[in-house]
Amino acid sequence: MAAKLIQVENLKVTFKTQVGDIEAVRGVSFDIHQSENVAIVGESGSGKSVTALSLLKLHDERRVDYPAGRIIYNNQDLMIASETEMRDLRGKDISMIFQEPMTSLNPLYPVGVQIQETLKLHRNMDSQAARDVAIKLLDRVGIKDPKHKIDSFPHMLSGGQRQRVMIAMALACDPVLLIADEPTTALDVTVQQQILELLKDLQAETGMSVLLITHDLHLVRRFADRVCVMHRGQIVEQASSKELFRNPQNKYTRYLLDSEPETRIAEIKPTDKIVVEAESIRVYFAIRKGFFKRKVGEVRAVDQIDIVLRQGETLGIVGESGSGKTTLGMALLRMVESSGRIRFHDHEISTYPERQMRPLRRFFQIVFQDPFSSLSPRMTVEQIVAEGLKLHFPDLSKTQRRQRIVKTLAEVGLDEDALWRYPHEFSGGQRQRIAVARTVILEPEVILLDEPTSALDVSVQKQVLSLLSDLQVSHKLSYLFISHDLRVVRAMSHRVIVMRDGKVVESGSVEQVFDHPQQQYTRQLAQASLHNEWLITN
Amino acid sequence: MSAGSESGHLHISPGRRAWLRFKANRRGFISLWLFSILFISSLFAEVLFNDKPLLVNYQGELYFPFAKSYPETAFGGDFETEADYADPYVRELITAGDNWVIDPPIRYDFNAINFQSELPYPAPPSSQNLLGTDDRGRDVFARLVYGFRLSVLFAFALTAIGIVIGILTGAVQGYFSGRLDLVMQRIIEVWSSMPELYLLIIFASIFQPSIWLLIILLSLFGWMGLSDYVRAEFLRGRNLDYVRAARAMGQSNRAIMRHHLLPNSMTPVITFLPFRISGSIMALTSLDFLGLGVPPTTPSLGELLAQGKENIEAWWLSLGTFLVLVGTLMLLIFIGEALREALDTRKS
Repeated sequence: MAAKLIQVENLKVTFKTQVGDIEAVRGVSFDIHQSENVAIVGESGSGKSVTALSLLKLHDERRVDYPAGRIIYNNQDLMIASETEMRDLRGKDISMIFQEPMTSLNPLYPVGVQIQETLKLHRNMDSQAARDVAIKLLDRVGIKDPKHKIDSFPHMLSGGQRQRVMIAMALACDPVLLIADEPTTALDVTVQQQILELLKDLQAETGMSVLLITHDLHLVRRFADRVCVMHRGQIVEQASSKELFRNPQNKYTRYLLDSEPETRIAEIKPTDKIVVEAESIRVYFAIRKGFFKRKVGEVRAVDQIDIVLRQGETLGIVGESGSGKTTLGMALLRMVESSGRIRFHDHEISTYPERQMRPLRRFFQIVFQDPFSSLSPRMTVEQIVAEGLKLHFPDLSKTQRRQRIVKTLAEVGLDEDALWRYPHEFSGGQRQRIAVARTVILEPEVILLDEPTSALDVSVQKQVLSLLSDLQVSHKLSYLFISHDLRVVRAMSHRVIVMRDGKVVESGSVEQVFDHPQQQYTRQLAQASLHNEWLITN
Repeated sequence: MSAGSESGHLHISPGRRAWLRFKANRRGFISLWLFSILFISSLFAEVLFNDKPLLVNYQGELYFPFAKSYPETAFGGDFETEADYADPYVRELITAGDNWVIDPPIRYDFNAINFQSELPYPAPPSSQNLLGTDDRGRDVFARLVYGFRLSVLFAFALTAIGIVIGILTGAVQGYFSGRLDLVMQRIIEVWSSMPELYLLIIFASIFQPSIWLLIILLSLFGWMGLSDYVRAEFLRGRNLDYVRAARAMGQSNRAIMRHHLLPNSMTPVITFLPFRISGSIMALTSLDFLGLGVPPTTPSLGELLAQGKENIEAWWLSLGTFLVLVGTLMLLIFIGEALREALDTRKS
């Protein structure tokens, strides 16, 4: 085995807060060898990112304490290294890429300038030389036409391209260790694959080591040589990737592997009542230019889509970001203007003006992706859940209303004392439960689930999904389930439509679409997120 | 998964929690007490500072000169005009024999002139005038207290009007955006380029200057700074998921603005609140200082400062006014700070 590159021994990290110290990392030890891919996997709050940031001592000194531990790199203990010594290391020997390529690049500078900055700083190059190297780097990370792209601003690039630029910046000084903190989480599935492949290629080419931080255990299966599973600030299991997936020792690891959503949906008969029927739905946005705002073209966000949704049925809508799936959902709920026919039972709701639509609103509810922005931070849980009740059931007395709120909260798994608290006092999963309670209390018929679990940890994901399935059965709800995560869609949906650029590429029952995809695009999508893992497990 | 196992403050209402947070800020809490005592007692200035007695017992009958006007003849004097209780002759009449008088603690109001002063005006502090007199012989202490009350009331009114108009216009612009926003934004730009001080000077020469005229004129311009911020908050907020959720629920525009967007757009309002109040006090003071504000009979801090400038050797004029101004502004800012912290629900 190759020599040890970096050794972490009994690392402890505590955060100093007003209410006392919080132990984020509680005695973590691991090594990274030369040319090795190590992955740290854990859910949010497990301390994985804190550990990674500690390697470069990137924490705010005033808020963080290191009560114990050593980090040995190059016969030097980084724990006692001075800030100047650390600065020499950062970006040169050890570099880092972050989750959000949108915010890690400065929007005011062309990407080339940002790459050149590192080169000038650590390799003392002049501008021309730095530019040449930057072009080579962009080429190496797979950006097409790098001579041209080097002068682009970050907003002109796609998410995947931006992440490639970040990687190029990280590689600028030939680091021996690259720390990648959730490098693919913000990206589409197919792009995720490409980025991981790129990292793996670069690793083989340069012989550097990679420390990958992620919450997605399945992502690392093909990537990492060794996996550390972190839980509550400790490494609960550390093994080679093959060993870990074949024979997980720790209970928590098994739990994580196991928290894959499982299929548990009720049968739907073709005779079941049709709740929503839509024909040739179109949402076009005009592109206007010039002083007089002349229409010069249009974006076809949703282009001629037909939909039938039966009672108790889940229709999965999948596609990559920008494919128009959320717009379609919003159009069906009359939240954005569209043309085409939409029927809800006997109501031709596509022709209804907003005033006529309002009393029907309670039958259509939405659960959003981000449980942090979907709850008003200045309202208590009771106010949030009661709002719709007051509006659509104004006859309820105060006590009746309270009773119904408590009952619904219990149904989604929350205690009565949640009533007086504010959203920020809850975890992501709990907030999503509040958001579900807010919709279910109105006794709706259709709920639009817009990536309801994408912002949640895998284990919490599973809980929320099973809550949604239970509610579907007990309330005979119909779901429009929007997701880019095909595993989740597969577990939840009866039928599925695949969207691309506003059009339906393929549709049919879940088995049909995922197991025997007819279209190249569907096959690609399925391959990126489903089949690889299954091929390996089976 | 169970909620709330770790939290201890369960059955406390949101309002009560805000009050607890306010109390936790010692400086703001003490400031609030001090300010309340000062302000409330200044509301009773007529009882504490008056040249007219509170109660007169004249020949077995009770009179309330501070509330009601009596002619001198009522007390056996010579004139039909209102009795001047500071006049030694009248004083003698109402204290002779069984008659008695209850006087306010300070026997001057803001306009009463001390004719008994032994020194020329402005007279330095003495046992008669605790903080001296101004250049017309009026008691500085009384003028400061009345001036403080007027300034604070003026500032509250101006701030309240500015906030209401600012929030309304900002909310409408931000929420409906589009063309309406564009038009209103242009109007605001035109309106804000009007020379405020110049208008004030013109109006001061057309109309009889009064406190109401000042409130109206300053309100016409005071709302614009705030409406920009509220507009930005509404613009940002209208696309957030919880607003979309409320729309999906079938809430009306008005309810969404009122219950969802407004509470979350209060940050600029609350942040600027202490500064707006103190800014209003300063506006009134500087206008009075320049002689563009209230008429000279009105008790005003700015007018006292101007007198202090004219009579630089009369240190009691400038020093007293200065201390009252600084104290008021400081207390208001401390209270505002504590209020801002108290209304932040994200703080525990």
